[in-house]
Amino acid sequence: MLRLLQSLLVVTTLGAAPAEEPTEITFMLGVASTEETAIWQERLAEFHAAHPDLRIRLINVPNFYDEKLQIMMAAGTPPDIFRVEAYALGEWVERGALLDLKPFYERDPGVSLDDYVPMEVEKWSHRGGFYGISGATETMAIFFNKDCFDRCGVDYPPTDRVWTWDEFVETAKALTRDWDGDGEVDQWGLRMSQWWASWSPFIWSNGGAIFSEDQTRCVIDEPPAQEAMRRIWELMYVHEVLPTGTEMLQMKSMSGDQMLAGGRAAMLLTGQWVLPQMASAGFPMDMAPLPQMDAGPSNIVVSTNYAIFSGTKHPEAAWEAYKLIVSEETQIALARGGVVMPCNKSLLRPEGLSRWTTEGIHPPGHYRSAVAPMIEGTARVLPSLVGMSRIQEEALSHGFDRLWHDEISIEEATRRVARQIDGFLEQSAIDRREREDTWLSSLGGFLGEHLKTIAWGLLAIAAVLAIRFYRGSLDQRRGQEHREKMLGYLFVAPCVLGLLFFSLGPIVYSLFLSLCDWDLLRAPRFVGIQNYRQIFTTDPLFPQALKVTAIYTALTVPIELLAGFTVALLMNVRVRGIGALRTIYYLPSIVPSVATAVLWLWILNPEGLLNSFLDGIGAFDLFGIGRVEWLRNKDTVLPAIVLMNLWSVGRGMVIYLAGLQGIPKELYEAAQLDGAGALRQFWHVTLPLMSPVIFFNLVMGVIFSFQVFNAGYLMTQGGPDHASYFFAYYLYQEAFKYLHMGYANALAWILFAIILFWTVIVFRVFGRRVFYG
Amino acid sequence: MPKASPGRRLTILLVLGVGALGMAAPFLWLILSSLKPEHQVFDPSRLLPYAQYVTVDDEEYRAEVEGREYGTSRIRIEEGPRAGEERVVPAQGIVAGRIDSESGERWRVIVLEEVEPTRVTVRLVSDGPLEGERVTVSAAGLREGVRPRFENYLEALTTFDFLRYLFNTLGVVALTILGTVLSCSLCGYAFARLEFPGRGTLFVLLLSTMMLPAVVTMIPSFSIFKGLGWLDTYLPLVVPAFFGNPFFIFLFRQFFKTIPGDLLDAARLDGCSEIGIYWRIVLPLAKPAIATVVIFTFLETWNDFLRPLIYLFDPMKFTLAVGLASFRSYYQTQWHLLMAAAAIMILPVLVLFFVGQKSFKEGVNVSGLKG
Repeated sequence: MLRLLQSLLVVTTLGAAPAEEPTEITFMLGVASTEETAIWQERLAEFHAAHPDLRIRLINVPNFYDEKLQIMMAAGTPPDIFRVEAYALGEWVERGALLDLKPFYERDPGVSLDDYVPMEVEKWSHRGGFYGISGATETMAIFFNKDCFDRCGVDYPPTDRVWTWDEFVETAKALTRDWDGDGEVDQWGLRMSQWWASWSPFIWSNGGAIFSEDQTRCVIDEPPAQEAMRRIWELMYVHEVLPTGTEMLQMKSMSGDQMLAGGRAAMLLTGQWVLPQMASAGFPMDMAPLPQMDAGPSNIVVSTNYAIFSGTKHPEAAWEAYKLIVSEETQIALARGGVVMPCNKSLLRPEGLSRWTTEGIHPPGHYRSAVAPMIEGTARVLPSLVGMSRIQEEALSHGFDRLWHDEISIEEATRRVARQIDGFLEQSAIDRREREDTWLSSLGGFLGEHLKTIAWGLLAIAAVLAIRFYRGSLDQRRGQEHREKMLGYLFVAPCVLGLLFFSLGPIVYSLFLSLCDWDLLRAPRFVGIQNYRQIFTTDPLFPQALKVTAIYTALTVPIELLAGFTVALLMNVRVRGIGALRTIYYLPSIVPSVATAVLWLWILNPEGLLNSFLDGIGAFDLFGIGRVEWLRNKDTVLPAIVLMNLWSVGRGMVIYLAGLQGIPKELYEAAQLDGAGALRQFWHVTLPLMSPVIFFNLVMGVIFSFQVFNAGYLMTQGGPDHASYFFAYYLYQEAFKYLHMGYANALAWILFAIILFWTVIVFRVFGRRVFYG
Repeated sequence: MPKASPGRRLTILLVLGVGALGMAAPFLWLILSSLKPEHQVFDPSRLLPYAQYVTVDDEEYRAEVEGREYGTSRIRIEEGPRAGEERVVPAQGIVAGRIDSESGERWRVIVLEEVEPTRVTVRLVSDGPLEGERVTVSAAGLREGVRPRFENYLEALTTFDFLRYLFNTLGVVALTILGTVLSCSLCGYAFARLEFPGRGTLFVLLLSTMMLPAVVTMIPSFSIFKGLGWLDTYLPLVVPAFFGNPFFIFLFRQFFKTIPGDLLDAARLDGCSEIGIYWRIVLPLAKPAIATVVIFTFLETWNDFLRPLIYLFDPMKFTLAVGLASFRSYYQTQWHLLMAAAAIMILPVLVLFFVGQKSFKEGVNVSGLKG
């Protein structure tokens, strides 16, 4: 404490004393590979040697990177330099979070925007500003196993031109083989992921587009785009060269590169980042460009860029650090491993290739397939529209899942995705409309900014009152009654404050915020009932989340109630060993929910306990089905989660058991004297006396199941195809992933209303039947 | 409790016993998986973790298989249309005592002899003069023995900052317990033994907030803590505990109601102040209630996931629950390590349960009473 005061004194007296500590720049990355981490460490060490006055602190967040970044932004403590997804650029710029680097580039003689391939510069520009280069780009290509081609006597893809879609289909057909004639394909012609980056280049290559030119509408359901999707679908269901969605699920334990290396697939459509795995698998492999449809070749760039936080305290130092992070040397170091490619023209042109391509990692076809589309400008990016992170996550990523399973037609699939995206676009268009400032908006801004002061003020009042109450409780001149009153107020003061601050206060504040547009970064703006209107009219996710949660509640509440009560009835006997049994049934319900989720992820895994057990008792043979992908199948995911909850049946059981044991013995004896059998005793004694407990559990069960979150977040991420998109998860995503805070508050209020409604219903329907003795 | 005949009792025990197997199976599966080396995790036909041993120069070593060169075996088919037939097949075709026939069926077979022995390259890992050496031996020379791999736990603890998370969690837990016991016992005492205007209304209001869904208050609370500048600190996790919790207030109130009033009156006559009564007489008597509150608060805080998830950003500040969750996405498929990590998180809870069973029961009775 003294030291702190001293240093404070020094700082205040000296004013602008020269800083002895080097200026620290924080740099956030999300890297999982140890090789890449090592490269960064090495680069930073060099940088520190060259700039003793600067220090770059690396924060590596391999998981939940985007959420973490957003939350750090929200808290006002983001890193100085961080990585941003290409499609999210527009959103970040609109929020005013990124520093425009154009002035720095113009001023600094060492670097120039002309150093980079034009499409990268274009990609990171928004409304006339420039927000940071990628330094590491990635494109898509066809990888092929030469052995498979040789074995089937098929020519390698042409090297003098980009092959056409028909040539590609013919090749794939010739490569699809059932070697042992058992009716199952042993070598697939092609394997590709269902990710949007795999199919969107073909939409462009067929002259189609995902968004209309003015970017207000999704046109994926218009003929050229629809035709491209049909051709991909035909690979599965007409040419049968690509595993269907269902077959793909069954292969999930085998990744695409493993299939290619093992000869299970002759070609693989994926990004060039698989090169290191390919190299270590050691098989004869080469790359070919993505085949072209009717409008010429195309490709997609799926890179992320490095941006500087607009509110950084040390812009100049951050600029120096940024220059290192995107420098030619760093680009070369990262690109050598094969995961990424540089974005400097000098390195991408044929004469610069030798500086970063590595024998044994980059095959001969690499330039033609992965680099040329960038140099020639045929590669494109998803536009960085506002609302894009939501569109890509909720609509593009899984929108076509049902098409790949052949459950809906191409027309319907494309129309569905298009309308869903239109809904999202409409929402962000409303969000962006300028609004008039009203006194309510100013109130919102005021509340947000001065919350701290208000809180301190309230605490001060509370402290004054507390002292008064305390004095009063000791005041011997007044009567006992008065002293007790004073002490009572003093003792309940904390919980009254808690009530105000942590439950009623937030609820009221939330009602206000639900009428605002708020992204955590800027002050809330009052928008009236707009959030509610959007939720009920344009948001395609709201009905889905509601449906999923309702089905889940309808399943889990009665099942758990019935199971808990039955077990409690059985447990209510006095036998040796019953204590141990009760313990075994109870223990699972005290296991931390995160541990339960992780454990059940493994139990419900295709190779997990449940499938092994069912296989063991011959259940799969009986129904003639293979192992079930419990959490990846939209029909089994909810039952699987219900089953997981059933494991915690002990929670209800102990409460029922306590109730059962509280029923006076005399009542049963009296019933017996009246000649009542076991069934009648149960009906006329047990059930009526237990009804308050059952009722309480019913109400709490409904309340809890409407809030289920962990399963959606930890186990399924709401999938597949939003089949486990629980309301609480939806709310979390809107709040912390898309920063729609006002919107999420509106959702919270709707959830509150729904829960209240059902609680009232439960009270009305069952409350009358409850016997309170 | 209704009387049951011995026959019925046996049936009940049997039914419950089978159910208990189902309840215990996930635990066993957790422990077994957490003790296996990575490659054995996906082989459910082998329940127990095992290691392979080989004898070289009269010395037994534990061996890790690094490569395998398959030979051929002479087998006899035991079922199907070709039952009884003998043939020579590649050894890798025999999986778990069965082979795939040309028609795609699986036949049970018996291995009669190895025509060409399958040879494996192993690295010798246990103590001995040849430790670390690689040797090639016949696969038949490998013996298997049950060996739990406790190293998984060490690996889970060290490769991930589990010790730090443990420390963080314990800190949060301790402060939360302190706050909860202090604030809830004060309020519970006031509601139980002190007369003041508005007591009934306030109590009902307090209890009704118990029905308030946590998810509903999550976003507005976040907004408030952001306004206070408390994000990425432990304050949002700890401070609310000092401002009461309706359930525990209720629990204390129920307990304090059972303290005889004469005792308090006697103290008052002796000139003890109201605060003194609370501090010197009531609180020491409340030990059982405090124990229950401590245990339940521990569980709640130890298990809490959502709040640390949204309030803590710096991985250094994570609690165990958030740590385990990010461990999960980091080590997606390394189930043996994930299970070890999960076991580490579960163990203290189980220990607490067995130590504090009585207090557990107390809490359950109160939560049942609420109905």
